[in-house]
Amino acid sequence: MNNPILRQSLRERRKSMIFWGIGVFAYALLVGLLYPSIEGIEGFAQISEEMPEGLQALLGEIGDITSPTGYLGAELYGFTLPLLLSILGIGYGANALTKEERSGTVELLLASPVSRRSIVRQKALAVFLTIFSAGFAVWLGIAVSTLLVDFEVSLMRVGTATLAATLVAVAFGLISFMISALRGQKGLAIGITTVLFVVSYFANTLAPLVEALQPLQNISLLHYYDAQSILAYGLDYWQASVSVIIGLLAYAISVTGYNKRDIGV
Amino acid sequence: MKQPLTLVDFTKKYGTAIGASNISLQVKPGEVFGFLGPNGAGKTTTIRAILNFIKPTSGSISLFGKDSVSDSVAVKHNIGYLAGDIALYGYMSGQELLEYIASLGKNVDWDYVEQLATQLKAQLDRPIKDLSKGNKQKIGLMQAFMHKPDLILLDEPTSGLDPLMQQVFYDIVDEAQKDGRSIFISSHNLQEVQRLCTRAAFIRDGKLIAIEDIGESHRLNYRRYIVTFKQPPKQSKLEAIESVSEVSIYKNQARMTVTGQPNKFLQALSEYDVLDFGEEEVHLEDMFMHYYEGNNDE
Repeated sequence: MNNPILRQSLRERRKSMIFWGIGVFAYALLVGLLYPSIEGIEGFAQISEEMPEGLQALLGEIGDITSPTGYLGAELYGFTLPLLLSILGIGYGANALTKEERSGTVELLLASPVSRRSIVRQKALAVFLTIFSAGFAVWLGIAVSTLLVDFEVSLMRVGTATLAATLVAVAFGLISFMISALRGQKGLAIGITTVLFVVSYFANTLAPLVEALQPLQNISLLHYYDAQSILAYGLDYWQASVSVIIGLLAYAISVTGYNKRDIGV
Repeated sequence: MKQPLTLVDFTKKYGTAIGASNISLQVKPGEVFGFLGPNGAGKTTTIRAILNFIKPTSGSISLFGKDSVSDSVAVKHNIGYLAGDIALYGYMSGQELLEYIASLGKNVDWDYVEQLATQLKAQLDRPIKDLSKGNKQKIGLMQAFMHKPDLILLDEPTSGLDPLMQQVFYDIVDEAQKDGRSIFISSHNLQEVQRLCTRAAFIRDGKLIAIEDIGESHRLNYRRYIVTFKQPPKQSKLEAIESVSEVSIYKNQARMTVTGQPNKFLQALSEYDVLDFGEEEVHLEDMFMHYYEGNNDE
Protein backbone atom coordinates (compact mmCIF):
# COMPACT_ATOMS: atom_id res chain seq x y z
CA MET A 1 0.00 0.00 0.00
CA ASN A 2 1.25 3.44 -0.85
CA ASN A 3 1.41 5.62 2.25
CA PRO A 4 2.83 9.01 1.28
CA ILE A 5 1.52 10.79 4.38
CA LEU A 6 3.03 8.13 6.65
CA ARG A 7 6.38 8.41 4.90
CA GLN A 8 6.30 12.20 5.04
CA SER A 9 5.37 12.16 8.75
CA LEU A 10 8.20 9.79 9.62
CA ARG A 11 10.64 11.80 7.55
CA GLU A 12 9.63 14.94 9.39
CA ARG A 13 10.23 13.17 12.70
CA ARG A 14 13.46 11.56 11.62
CA LYS A 15 15.71 13.70 13.80
CA SER A 16 13.49 13.39 16.85
CA MET A 17 13.26 9.62 16.34
CA ILE A 18 17.03 9.31 16.13
CA PHE A 19 17.52 11.29 19.35
CA TRP A 20 14.86 9.32 21.17
CA GLY A 21 16.34 6.10 19.84
CA ILE A 22 19.85 6.97 20.97
CA GLY A 23 18.57 8.20 24.34
CA VAL A 24 16.54 5.14 25.28
CA PHE A 25 19.13 2.78 23.78
CA ALA A 26 21.83 4.36 25.94
CA TYR A 27 19.61 4.23 29.01
CA ALA A 28 18.76 0.56 28.49
CA LEU A 29 22.38 -0.26 27.78
CA LEU A 30 23.46 1.46 31.00
CA VAL A 31 20.84 -0.38 33.03
CA GLY A 32 22.16 -3.64 31.61
CA LEU A 33 25.80 -2.76 32.18
CA LEU A 34 25.18 -1.83 35.81
CA TYR A 35 23.62 -5.20 36.66
CA PRO A 36 26.85 -6.89 37.79
CA SER A 37 27.42 -4.23 40.43
CA ILE A 38 23.91 -4.73 41.85
CA GLU A 39 24.06 -8.50 41.71
CA GLY A 40 26.84 -8.61 44.25
CA ILE A 41 25.07 -6.55 46.89
CA GLU A 42 23.84 -8.82 49.62
CA GLY A 43 20.70 -8.38 51.58
CA PHE A 44 18.55 -6.81 48.88
CA ALA A 45 16.29 -9.80 48.65
CA GLN A 46 15.94 -9.77 52.40
CA ILE A 47 15.03 -6.08 52.50
CA SER A 48 12.48 -6.66 49.84
CA GLU A 49 10.89 -9.49 51.74
CA GLU A 50 10.82 -7.62 55.00
CA MET A 51 9.47 -4.44 53.50
CA PRO A 52 6.01 -3.54 54.81
CA GLU A 53 3.27 -4.34 52.30
CA GLY A 54 2.34 -0.69 51.88
CA LEU A 55 5.81 0.44 51.00
CA GLN A 56 6.23 -2.49 48.66
CA ALA A 57 3.05 -1.54 46.85
CA LEU A 58 4.17 2.05 46.52
CA LEU A 59 7.56 1.19 45.14
CA GLY A 60 6.10 -1.49 42.95
CA GLU A 61 6.57 -5.12 43.68
CA ILE A 62 10.25 -5.12 43.20
CA GLY A 63 10.69 -8.75 44.05
CA ASP A 64 14.25 -9.97 44.12
CA ILE A 65 16.13 -7.06 42.69
CA THR A 66 19.35 -9.03 42.54
CA SER A 67 18.00 -11.54 40.03
CA PRO A 68 18.35 -10.41 36.39
CA THR A 69 14.60 -10.28 35.74
CA GLY A 70 13.85 -8.73 39.13
CA TYR A 71 16.47 -6.08 38.48
CA LEU A 72 15.17 -5.31 34.98
CA GLY A 73 11.60 -5.14 36.21
CA ALA A 74 12.47 -2.75 39.03
CA GLU A 75 14.91 -0.55 37.14
CA LEU A 76 13.36 -0.31 33.72
CA TYR A 77 10.25 -2.24 32.84
CA GLY A 78 8.14 -1.72 35.94
CA PHE A 79 7.60 2.00 35.58
CA THR A 80 10.35 3.88 33.73
CA LEU A 81 9.85 2.27 30.34
CA PRO A 82 6.06 2.59 30.09
CA LEU A 83 6.45 6.16 31.37
CA LEU A 84 9.12 7.12 28.81
CA LEU A 85 7.33 5.51 25.90
CA SER A 86 4.01 7.00 26.99
CA ILE A 87 5.54 10.49 27.13
CA LEU A 88 6.69 9.94 23.56
CA GLY A 89 3.31 8.53 22.54
CA ILE A 90 1.18 11.19 24.25
CA GLY A 91 3.29 13.99 22.83
CA TYR A 92 3.43 12.78 19.27
CA GLY A 93 -0.14 11.43 19.42
CA ALA A 94 -1.35 14.94 20.21
CA ASN A 95 0.81 16.50 17.51
CA ALA A 96 0.52 14.11 14.57
CA LEU A 97 -2.73 15.57 13.21
CA THR A 98 -2.78 18.98 14.86
CA LYS A 99 0.64 20.18 13.76
CA GLU A 100 -0.56 20.26 10.17
CA GLU A 101 -3.67 22.12 11.32
CA ARG A 102 -1.68 24.74 13.19
CA SER A 103 0.73 25.33 10.34
CA GLY A 104 -2.04 25.17 7.71
CA THR A 105 -0.40 22.42 5.63
CA VAL A 106 -3.44 20.23 6.32
CA GLU A 107 -5.14 22.20 3.54
CA LEU A 108 -2.77 20.62 1.03
CA LEU A 109 -3.85 17.18 2.21
CA LEU A 110 -7.55 17.98 2.34
CA ALA A 111 -7.52 19.58 -1.10
CA SER A 112 -6.02 16.39 -2.53
CA PRO A 113 -7.94 13.28 -3.48
CA VAL A 114 -7.18 11.53 -0.21
CA SER A 115 -9.85 10.64 2.32
CA ARG A 116 -9.75 11.83 5.89
CA ARG A 117 -9.92 8.19 6.95
CA SER A 118 -6.68 7.61 5.08
CA ILE A 119 -5.05 10.68 6.65
CA VAL A 120 -5.99 9.43 10.13
CA ARG A 121 -4.83 5.89 9.32
CA GLN A 122 -1.41 7.03 8.12
CA LYS A 123 -0.90 9.47 10.98
CA ALA A 124 -1.91 6.83 13.56
CA LEU A 125 0.52 4.40 11.94
CA ALA A 126 3.23 7.04 12.26
CA VAL A 127 2.47 7.32 15.99
CA PHE A 128 2.60 3.53 16.34
CA LEU A 129 5.87 3.17 14.45
CA THR A 130 7.48 6.03 16.36
CA ILE A 131 6.75 4.38 19.72
CA PHE A 132 7.58 0.96 18.36
CA SER A 133 10.99 2.04 17.10
CA ALA A 134 11.83 3.58 20.50
CA GLY A 135 10.78 0.30 22.13
CA PHE A 136 13.01 -1.60 19.73
CA ALA A 137 15.96 0.65 20.67
CA VAL A 138 15.39 -0.25 24.33
CA TRP A 139 15.41 -3.95 23.56
CA LEU A 140 18.55 -3.47 21.50
CA GLY A 141 20.22 -1.68 24.44
CA ILE A 142 19.54 -4.62 26.73
CA ALA A 143 20.60 -7.08 24.05
CA VAL A 144 23.93 -5.32 23.56
CA SER A 145 24.53 -5.15 27.32
CA THR A 146 24.14 -8.93 27.61
CA LEU A 147 27.01 -9.29 25.15
CA LEU A 148 29.26 -7.00 27.16
CA VAL A 149 28.68 -8.09 30.75
CA ASP A 150 27.44 -11.12 32.57
CA PHE A 151 23.70 -10.38 32.50
CA GLU A 152 21.66 -13.48 31.87
CA VAL A 153 18.17 -12.68 30.71
CA SER A 154 16.03 -14.22 28.03
CA LEU A 155 16.05 -11.75 25.18
CA MET A 156 12.80 -13.31 24.05
CA ARG A 157 11.17 -12.45 27.39
CA VAL A 158 12.75 -9.00 27.39
CA GLY A 159 11.36 -8.52 23.88
CA THR A 160 7.91 -9.60 25.04
CA ALA A 161 8.01 -7.20 27.98
CA THR A 162 9.19 -4.40 25.69
CA LEU A 163 6.32 -5.15 23.35
CA ALA A 164 3.84 -5.06 26.23
CA ALA A 165 5.21 -1.71 27.45
CA THR A 166 5.11 -0.42 23.87
CA LEU A 167 1.47 -1.44 23.56
CA VAL A 168 0.60 0.42 26.77
CA ALA A 169 2.33 3.52 25.39
CA VAL A 170 0.59 3.09 22.03
CA ALA A 171 -2.75 2.94 23.83
CA PHE A 172 -2.01 6.19 25.69
CA GLY A 173 -0.62 7.69 22.49
CA LEU A 174 -3.76 6.83 20.57
CA ILE A 175 -6.00 8.21 23.32
CA SER A 176 -4.07 11.47 23.00
CA PHE A 177 -4.36 11.16 19.20
CA MET A 178 -8.11 10.60 19.52
CA ILE A 179 -8.65 13.74 21.60
CA SER A 180 -6.61 15.77 19.12
CA ALA A 181 -8.60 14.27 16.22
CA LEU A 182 -11.88 15.17 17.90
CA ARG A 183 -10.95 18.66 19.04
CA GLY A 184 -7.92 19.72 17.04
CA GLN A 185 -6.13 20.93 20.16
CA LYS A 186 -2.70 19.60 21.04
CA GLY A 187 -2.59 21.05 24.56
CA LEU A 188 -5.96 19.60 25.49
CA ALA A 189 -4.95 16.16 24.21
CA ILE A 190 -1.67 16.16 26.13
CA GLY A 191 -3.33 17.52 29.27
CA ILE A 192 -6.18 15.04 29.45
CA THR A 193 -4.07 12.03 28.55
CA THR A 194 -1.35 12.94 31.03
CA VAL A 195 -3.94 13.19 33.79
CA LEU A 196 -5.26 9.83 32.66
CA PHE A 197 -1.78 8.32 32.90
CA VAL A 198 -1.15 9.76 36.37
CA VAL A 199 -4.54 8.59 37.63
CA SER A 200 -3.88 5.17 36.09
CA TYR A 201 -0.58 4.99 37.87
CA PHE A 202 -1.85 5.96 41.29
CA ALA A 203 -5.00 3.88 41.01
CA ASN A 204 -2.85 0.89 40.21
CA THR A 205 -0.21 1.36 42.87
CA LEU A 206 -2.41 2.63 45.70
CA ALA A 207 -5.37 0.32 45.18
CA PRO A 208 -3.81 -2.49 47.22
CA LEU A 209 -3.57 -0.03 50.14
CA VAL A 210 -6.74 1.97 49.85
CA GLU A 211 -9.87 -0.10 49.57
CA ALA A 212 -11.84 2.76 48.04
CA LEU A 213 -9.47 2.82 45.08
CA GLN A 214 -9.89 -0.84 44.25
CA PRO A 215 -12.70 -0.40 41.68
CA LEU A 216 -10.49 2.21 40.02
CA GLN A 217 -7.66 -0.26 39.63
CA ASN A 218 -9.63 -2.29 37.12
CA ILE A 219 -9.99 0.63 34.78
CA SER A 220 -6.32 1.56 35.12
CA LEU A 221 -4.55 0.68 31.90
CA LEU A 222 -1.32 0.07 33.84
CA HIS A 223 -3.06 -2.59 35.90
CA TYR A 224 -2.97 -4.85 32.85
CA TYR A 225 0.75 -4.47 32.43
CA ASP A 226 2.73 -6.57 34.90
CA ALA A 227 6.35 -6.33 33.90
CA GLN A 228 7.73 -8.66 36.57
CA SER A 229 5.38 -11.41 35.63
CA ILE A 230 6.05 -11.02 31.90
CA LEU A 231 9.81 -11.08 32.46
CA ALA A 232 9.53 -14.12 34.71
CA TYR A 233 6.74 -16.13 33.09
CA GLY A 234 5.96 -14.60 29.69
CA LEU A 235 3.08 -12.64 28.29
CA ASP A 236 -0.47 -12.93 29.50
CA TYR A 237 -2.29 -12.47 26.21
CA TRP A 238 -5.53 -11.47 27.86
CA GLN A 239 -3.81 -8.64 29.73
CA ALA A 240 -1.89 -7.50 26.65
CA SER A 241 -5.10 -7.44 24.62
CA VAL A 242 -6.51 -4.73 26.92
CA SER A 243 -3.99 -2.21 25.53
CA VAL A 244 -4.65 -3.38 21.99
CA ILE A 245 -8.41 -3.07 22.37
CA ILE A 246 -8.17 0.41 23.95
CA GLY A 247 -5.81 1.46 21.15
CA LEU A 248 -8.11 0.18 18.41
CA LEU A 249 -11.11 1.78 20.03
CA ALA A 250 -9.33 5.13 20.25
CA TYR A 251 -8.33 4.75 16.61
CA ALA A 252 -11.90 4.01 15.50
CA ILE A 253 -13.21 7.06 17.36
CA SER A 254 -10.43 9.16 15.82
CA VAL A 255 -11.49 8.17 12.31
CA THR A 256 -15.16 8.99 12.94
CA GLY A 257 -14.42 12.21 14.81
CA TYR A 258 -11.93 13.55 12.31
CA ASN A 259 -14.31 12.76 9.47
CA LYS A 260 -17.05 14.88 11.00
CA ARG A 261 -15.06 17.82 12.24
CA ASP A 262 -14.61 21.21 10.59
CA ILE A 263 -10.90 21.58 10.02
CA GLY A 264 -8.80 24.71 9.93
CA VAL A 265 -11.37 27.27 11.06
CA MET B 1 -19.49 18.77 -19.00
CA LYS B 2 -21.54 19.02 -15.83
CA GLN B 3 -21.64 22.35 -14.03
CA PRO B 4 -18.26 22.67 -12.31
CA LEU B 5 -19.70 24.32 -9.23
CA THR B 6 -23.20 24.82 -7.88
CA LEU B 7 -24.10 26.25 -4.50
CA VAL B 8 -27.70 25.99 -3.38
CA ASP B 9 -28.67 27.96 -0.27
CA PHE B 10 -25.28 27.28 1.24
CA THR B 11 -25.28 28.36 4.88
CA LYS B 12 -22.54 28.03 7.45
CA LYS B 13 -23.07 28.96 11.08
CA TYR B 14 -20.52 28.89 13.87
CA GLY B 15 -22.71 28.66 16.93
CA THR B 16 -24.78 31.79 16.58
CA ALA B 17 -22.29 33.57 14.33
CA ILE B 18 -23.03 33.36 10.63
CA GLY B 19 -20.17 32.66 8.25
CA ALA B 20 -22.29 32.43 5.12
CA SER B 21 -26.00 32.67 4.64
CA ASN B 22 -28.14 31.22 1.84
CA ILE B 23 -25.59 31.61 -0.92
CA SER B 24 -26.69 30.23 -4.27
CA LEU B 25 -24.60 30.50 -7.40
CA GLN B 26 -23.37 28.51 -10.34
CA VAL B 27 -20.04 28.53 -12.14
CA LYS B 28 -20.23 27.51 -15.79
CA PRO B 29 -17.64 25.51 -17.71
CA GLY B 30 -14.81 27.70 -18.96
CA GLU B 31 -15.83 30.66 -16.84
CA VAL B 32 -13.66 32.81 -14.62
CA PHE B 33 -15.99 33.65 -11.80
CA GLY B 34 -15.12 36.33 -9.28
CA PHE B 35 -16.15 36.18 -5.66
CA LEU B 36 -15.82 39.68 -4.43
CA GLY B 37 -16.24 41.00 -0.94
CA PRO B 38 -14.50 42.89 1.84
CA ASN B 39 -12.33 41.01 4.33
CA GLY B 40 -14.47 38.91 6.64
CA ALA B 41 -17.41 38.75 4.22
CA GLY B 42 -17.43 34.94 4.09
CA LYS B 43 -15.32 34.31 1.00
CA THR B 44 -12.87 31.95 2.67
CA THR B 45 -15.67 30.19 4.56
CA THR B 46 -17.38 29.47 1.26
CA ILE B 47 -14.24 28.19 -0.45
CA ARG B 48 -13.40 25.98 2.52
CA ALA B 49 -16.87 24.50 2.40
CA ILE B 50 -16.55 23.85 -1.35
CA LEU B 51 -13.40 21.88 -0.54
CA ASN B 52 -15.08 20.11 2.37
CA PHE B 53 -12.64 21.43 4.97
CA ILE B 54 -15.81 22.49 6.74
CA LYS B 55 -19.36 21.14 6.30
CA PRO B 56 -22.34 23.26 5.34
CA THR B 57 -24.81 23.85 8.18
CA SER B 58 -27.55 23.72 5.55
CA GLY B 59 -27.87 23.88 1.81
CA SER B 60 -25.69 21.97 -0.60
CA ILE B 61 -22.62 22.33 -2.74
CA SER B 62 -22.02 20.20 -5.80
CA LEU B 63 -18.95 19.88 -7.98
CA PHE B 64 -19.36 18.40 -11.46
CA GLY B 65 -22.71 17.12 -10.26
CA LYS B 66 -21.26 15.39 -7.20
CA ASP B 67 -21.88 16.30 -3.59
CA SER B 68 -19.05 18.21 -1.91
CA VAL B 69 -19.32 16.18 1.30
CA SER B 70 -20.20 12.62 0.28
CA ASP B 71 -18.12 12.59 -2.92
CA SER B 72 -15.38 14.80 -1.54
CA VAL B 73 -12.47 12.53 -2.44
CA ALA B 74 -13.59 11.69 -5.97
CA VAL B 75 -14.09 15.29 -7.06
CA LYS B 76 -10.68 16.43 -5.86
CA HIS B 77 -8.89 14.75 -8.75
CA ASN B 78 -10.35 17.53 -10.79
CA ILE B 79 -9.90 20.50 -8.45
CA GLY B 80 -6.99 22.81 -7.81
CA TYR B 81 -6.75 25.06 -4.78
CA LEU B 82 -4.58 27.95 -3.76
CA ALA B 83 -4.90 30.38 -0.87
CA GLY B 84 -2.95 33.62 -0.72
CA ASP B 85 -1.60 32.62 2.67
CA ILE B 86 -1.09 28.97 1.77
CA ALA B 87 1.18 26.99 4.08
CA LEU B 88 3.76 24.64 2.58
CA TYR B 89 6.20 22.19 4.18
CA GLY B 90 9.19 24.41 4.81
CA TYR B 91 11.80 21.68 4.91
CA MET B 92 10.89 20.37 1.46
CA SER B 93 12.19 21.80 -1.75
CA GLY B 94 9.63 23.00 -4.28
CA GLN B 95 10.20 19.91 -6.40
CA GLU B 96 9.77 17.60 -3.40
CA LEU B 97 6.57 19.37 -2.42
CA LEU B 98 5.08 19.02 -5.89
CA GLU B 99 6.06 15.34 -5.96
CA TYR B 100 4.54 14.83 -2.53
CA ILE B 101 1.25 16.46 -3.52
CA ALA B 102 1.26 14.40 -6.72
CA SER B 103 1.76 11.23 -4.67
CA LEU B 104 -1.47 12.04 -2.82
CA GLY B 105 -3.37 11.02 -5.93
CA LYS B 106 -3.24 13.89 -8.39
CA ASN B 107 -2.53 12.98 -11.97
CA VAL B 108 0.22 15.42 -12.79
CA ASP B 109 1.38 16.51 -16.22
CA TRP B 110 5.10 17.04 -15.52
CA ASP B 111 5.76 18.72 -18.87
CA TYR B 112 3.22 21.32 -17.87
CA VAL B 113 4.94 21.67 -14.47
CA GLU B 114 8.19 22.39 -16.26
CA GLN B 115 6.48 24.96 -18.44
CA LEU B 116 4.91 26.63 -15.39
CA ALA B 117 8.26 26.68 -13.60
CA THR B 118 9.87 28.46 -16.54
CA GLN B 119 6.98 30.87 -16.91
CA LEU B 120 7.01 31.72 -13.20
CA LYS B 121 10.80 31.55 -12.81
CA ALA B 122 10.10 29.29 -9.83
CA GLN B 123 12.95 28.03 -7.66
CA LEU B 124 12.23 24.36 -7.20
CA ASP B 125 15.54 23.15 -5.80
CA ARG B 126 15.78 25.25 -2.64
CA PRO B 127 14.09 24.47 0.68
CA ILE B 128 10.77 26.31 0.74
CA LYS B 129 11.56 27.88 4.10
CA ASP B 130 14.39 29.84 2.44
CA LEU B 131 12.12 31.33 -0.22
CA SER B 132 10.51 34.78 -0.20
CA LYS B 133 6.74 35.10 0.09
CA GLY B 134 6.41 35.62 -3.65
CA ASN B 135 8.55 32.61 -4.48
CA LYS B 136 6.57 30.44 -2.07
CA GLN B 137 3.40 31.59 -3.73
CA LYS B 138 4.75 30.42 -7.10
CA ILE B 139 5.09 26.90 -5.70
CA GLY B 140 1.57 27.19 -4.32
CA LEU B 141 0.34 28.26 -7.73
CA MET B 142 2.06 25.34 -9.42
CA GLN B 143 0.50 22.76 -7.12
CA ALA B 144 -2.94 24.24 -7.83
CA PHE B 145 -2.54 24.06 -11.61
CA MET B 146 -0.17 21.11 -12.16
CA HIS B 147 -2.80 18.39 -12.58
CA LYS B 148 -4.76 20.55 -15.05
CA PRO B 149 -7.98 20.46 -13.05
CA ASP B 150 -11.26 21.56 -14.60
CA LEU B 151 -12.05 23.74 -11.60
CA ILE B 152 -9.49 25.90 -9.85
CA LEU B 153 -10.38 27.61 -6.57
CA LEU B 154 -8.23 30.61 -5.74
CA ASP B 155 -8.62 32.38 -2.41
CA GLU B 156 -7.06 35.86 -2.58
CA PRO B 157 -4.31 34.41 -4.75
CA THR B 158 -2.36 37.57 -5.52
CA SER B 159 -1.93 38.79 -1.97
CA GLY B 160 1.82 39.02 -1.46
CA LEU B 161 2.69 38.94 -5.16
CA ASP B 162 4.52 41.88 -6.67
CA PRO B 163 2.89 43.58 -9.70
CA LEU B 164 5.13 41.75 -12.17
CA MET B 165 4.20 38.38 -10.70
CA GLN B 166 0.55 39.38 -10.61
CA GLN B 167 0.73 39.89 -14.34
CA VAL B 168 2.28 36.45 -14.86
CA PHE B 169 -0.46 35.04 -12.66
CA TYR B 170 -3.13 36.76 -14.76
CA ASP B 171 -1.57 35.23 -17.88
CA ILE B 172 -1.73 31.75 -16.38
CA VAL B 173 -5.37 32.24 -15.46
CA ASP B 174 -6.13 33.46 -18.99
CA GLU B 175 -4.43 30.41 -20.47
CA ALA B 176 -6.32 28.06 -18.19
CA GLN B 177 -9.55 29.70 -19.25
CA LYS B 178 -8.65 29.32 -22.93
CA ASP B 179 -8.21 25.61 -22.23
CA GLY B 180 -11.79 25.53 -21.04
CA ARG B 181 -11.14 25.29 -17.30
CA SER B 182 -13.32 27.07 -14.80
CA ILE B 183 -11.80 29.34 -12.23
CA PHE B 184 -13.41 30.56 -9.04
CA ILE B 185 -11.43 33.42 -7.62
CA SER B 186 -12.10 35.26 -4.40
CA SER B 187 -10.79 38.76 -4.02
CA HIS B 188 -11.33 42.04 -2.26
CA ASN B 189 -9.85 43.83 -5.23
CA LEU B 190 -12.41 45.06 -7.75
CA GLN B 191 -9.83 45.91 -10.40
CA GLU B 192 -8.42 42.42 -10.24
CA VAL B 193 -11.85 40.86 -10.64
CA GLN B 194 -12.60 43.20 -13.55
CA ARG B 195 -9.34 42.23 -15.17
CA LEU B 196 -9.92 38.47 -14.86
CA CYS B 197 -13.55 37.60 -14.57
CA THR B 198 -16.54 37.22 -16.83
CA ARG B 199 -18.99 37.27 -13.96
CA ALA B 200 -18.71 38.07 -10.30
CA ALA B 201 -20.72 37.52 -7.15
CA PHE B 202 -20.68 40.27 -4.56
CA ILE B 203 -20.79 39.14 -0.99
CA ARG B 204 -20.96 41.04 2.27
CA ASP B 205 -21.62 39.90 5.85
CA GLY B 206 -22.01 36.36 4.61
CA LYS B 207 -24.79 37.28 2.20
CA LEU B 208 -24.84 37.28 -1.55
CA ILE B 209 -25.77 40.78 -2.70
CA ALA B 210 -25.60 40.51 -6.46
CA ILE B 211 -24.17 38.53 -9.34
CA GLU B 212 -23.01 40.79 -12.17
CA ASP B 213 -21.77 40.23 -15.68
CA ILE B 214 -18.44 41.92 -15.84
CA GLY B 215 -16.84 40.95 -19.11
CA GLU B 216 -16.43 43.93 -21.39
CA SER B 217 -18.85 46.13 -19.50
CA HIS B 218 -17.41 49.01 -17.52
CA ARG B 219 -20.66 49.74 -15.78
CA LEU B 220 -19.14 48.77 -12.47
CA ASN B 221 -16.11 50.97 -12.85
CA TYR B 222 -15.78 52.95 -9.67
CA ARG B 223 -12.75 55.13 -9.23
CA ARG B 224 -11.70 58.02 -7.04
CA TYR B 225 -9.57 60.73 -8.57
CA ILE B 226 -7.61 63.57 -7.03
CA VAL B 227 -7.23 66.50 -9.40
CA THR B 228 -5.19 69.62 -8.68
CA PHE B 229 -6.29 72.70 -10.66
CA LYS B 230 -4.51 75.99 -11.26
CA GLN B 231 -7.59 77.86 -10.11
CA PRO B 232 -9.99 76.47 -7.47
CA PRO B 233 -12.86 74.84 -9.42
CA LYS B 234 -16.56 75.30 -8.73
CA GLN B 235 -18.14 72.33 -7.02
CA SER B 236 -21.40 72.66 -8.92
CA LYS B 237 -19.64 72.61 -12.27
CA LEU B 238 -17.76 69.43 -11.42
CA GLU B 239 -20.89 67.79 -10.06
CA ALA B 240 -22.67 68.59 -13.28
CA ILE B 241 -20.39 66.28 -15.23
CA GLU B 242 -22.14 63.06 -16.10
CA SER B 243 -20.51 60.09 -14.23
CA VAL B 244 -19.00 62.31 -11.54
CA SER B 245 -20.27 62.30 -7.95
CA GLU B 246 -19.12 62.69 -4.35
CA VAL B 247 -17.06 65.80 -5.08
CA SER B 248 -15.12 67.46 -2.32
CA ILE B 249 -12.92 70.51 -2.83
CA TYR B 250 -10.12 71.84 -0.67
CA LYS B 251 -8.45 74.98 -2.06
CA ASN B 252 -7.51 74.09 -5.64
CA GLN B 253 -7.67 70.32 -5.16
CA ALA B 254 -10.76 68.26 -5.85
CA ARG B 255 -11.54 64.64 -5.00
CA MET B 256 -14.32 62.93 -6.86
CA THR B 257 -15.83 59.59 -7.76
CA VAL B 258 -16.13 58.57 -11.38
CA THR B 259 -18.34 55.67 -12.33
CA GLY B 260 -18.82 53.94 -15.65
CA GLN B 261 -16.84 55.11 -18.67
CA PRO B 262 -14.53 58.01 -17.93
CA ASN B 263 -14.57 59.84 -21.31
CA LYS B 264 -17.13 62.50 -20.33
CA PHE B 265 -15.08 63.20 -17.25
CA LEU B 266 -11.85 63.51 -19.24
CA GLN B 267 -13.47 65.79 -21.81
CA ALA B 268 -14.71 68.09 -19.06
CA LEU B 269 -11.30 68.14 -17.39
CA SER B 270 -9.59 69.19 -20.61
CA GLU B 271 -11.33 72.56 -20.32
CA TYR B 272 -9.43 73.22 -17.09
CA ASP B 273 -5.82 74.00 -16.39
CA VAL B 274 -4.88 70.75 -14.61
CA LEU B 275 -1.65 70.73 -12.59
CA ASP B 276 -1.81 67.20 -11.24
CA PHE B 277 -3.94 64.12 -11.66
CA GLY B 278 -3.96 60.95 -9.59
CA GLU B 279 -6.08 58.01 -8.56
CA GLU B 280 -6.98 57.31 -4.99
CA GLU B 281 -7.30 53.76 -3.64
CA VAL B 282 -10.90 52.65 -3.61
CA HIS B 283 -12.17 50.53 -0.78
CA LEU B 284 -14.59 47.87 -1.76
CA GLU B 285 -16.88 48.97 1.05
CA ASP B 286 -17.25 52.39 -0.63
CA MET B 287 -18.08 50.76 -3.92
CA PHE B 288 -20.63 48.59 -2.16
CA MET B 289 -22.16 51.67 -0.56
CA HIS B 290 -22.41 53.26 -3.94
CA TYR B 291 -24.06 50.41 -5.81
CA TYR B 292 -25.80 48.22 -3.32
CA GLU B 293 -26.68 50.27 -0.29
CA GLY B 294 -30.29 49.65 0.61
CA ASN B 295 -30.48 46.51 -1.52
CA ASN B 296 -29.77 44.13 1.26
CA ASP B 297 -31.02 45.87 4.35
CA GLU B 298 -33.77 43.80 5.78
